[in-house]
Amino acid sequence: MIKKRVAATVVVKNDRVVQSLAFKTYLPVGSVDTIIQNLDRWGVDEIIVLNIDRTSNGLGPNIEIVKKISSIPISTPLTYGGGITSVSDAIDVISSGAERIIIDSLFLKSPSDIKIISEVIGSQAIILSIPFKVIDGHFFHFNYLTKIFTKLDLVNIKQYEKIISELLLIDVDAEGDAGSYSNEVVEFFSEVNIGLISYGGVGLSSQGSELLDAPSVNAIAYGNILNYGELFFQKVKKSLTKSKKKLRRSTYRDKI
Amino acid sequence: MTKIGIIDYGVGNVNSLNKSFKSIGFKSFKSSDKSVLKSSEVLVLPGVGSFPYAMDRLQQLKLDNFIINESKKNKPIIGICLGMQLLTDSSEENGDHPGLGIIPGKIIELGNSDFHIGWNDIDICKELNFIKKFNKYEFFFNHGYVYRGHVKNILSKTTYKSNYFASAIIQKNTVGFQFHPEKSQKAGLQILKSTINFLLKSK
Repeated sequence: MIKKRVAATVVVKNDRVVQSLAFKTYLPVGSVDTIIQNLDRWGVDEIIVLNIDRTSNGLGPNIEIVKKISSIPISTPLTYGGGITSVSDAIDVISSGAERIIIDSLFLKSPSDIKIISEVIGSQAIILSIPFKVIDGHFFHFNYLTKIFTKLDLVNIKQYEKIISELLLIDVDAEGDAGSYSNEVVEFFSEVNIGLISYGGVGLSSQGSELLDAPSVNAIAYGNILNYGELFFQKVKKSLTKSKKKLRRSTYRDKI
Repeated sequence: MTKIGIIDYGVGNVNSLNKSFKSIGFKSFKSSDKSVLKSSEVLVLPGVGSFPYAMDRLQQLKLDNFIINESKKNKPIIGICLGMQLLTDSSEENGDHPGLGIIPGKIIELGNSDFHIGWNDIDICKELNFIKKFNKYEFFFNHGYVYRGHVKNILSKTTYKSNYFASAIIQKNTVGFQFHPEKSQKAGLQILKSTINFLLKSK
């Protein structure tokens, strides 16, 4: 049976890992390789690197970081997002060691290019990131570069059902506040036939298991809380005990 | 020390694969040059991409016939994910495209706009020691197309939505994994090691 994933998100700014609070405040955490080495050793299901200052600084993807992570080496699936705007960017990221890429601002700037990228690296390798806000029961797509938000248009997103394989739904306001992820957004997206990754504000709360109960939620991503203690990933797994059967068993103690 | 040649054709996570082999004690290198790859004892065909694009790349680099010829000479070959799919006769991804034809069978869509992404376990179907011990272990998958072929070529199967598909296939000295062993933590690295040792012994 396919298992639901518990992913670790590593937010990178100026080549360092940062703690992100509601896309506004960033606190330094440490070096990328040390943090990723820990996540790999703990046996997280997937590592998602979000390099948040590439597009805003007019830079392409951070190939050096992807190469550095692969050289550790790690044996955990790696997803990278940040600064990818073309087919060659996507190829560079994949050949440097990631299995999947995250598209963010390209969706707002030049959405037709996403299909072109998918024809080369395959739809299975593309995740579309949608940072969102909930205002008076309505859902808005938050453009973190311009800080403008526009109403989420599901008819438009449905067109990507064969072009991308998953949506990373980031609850912008909930980020950094445990148990406050919008359950409603999962319901809102239920008519779209694309698997979801919920990220932002789940924390060590019972909300994790509630989200995993939704058929469309393939994964939950945790960020900040994984950075502050040895084997913190196991604490996250404990908070998801109710969902134990849906998750991969812990393997960090395995000797084979 | 066994020399593993990773075929670098611009489609796939060659960098991480190269490091993985080194971490399990093999000497590995990546190259797109036939004459360099020829010196390897085991060839690895990785792949993260679409089938038609990947076949085009192999043809452009004249690596398609090279791989077929090396296979005829009984060189052990391991295909990973899309690399596994390319070893078969054909794929229906974005049209109908011929593959390398080393492992009989074809690649078909998993289901309408469906993807199999994440960790899933494998059921070993063959009494072969090198893989038997990995029965029920979980590996990382990321694909929307699957292998359809003869049962004699199926090493392991994996269940998805009440159906199952081949998660590992074999034909003589060629093994293909639909999952990413290099990104499946301890079990993944061990299955790679075990497969390479098996293929070298049965050479």
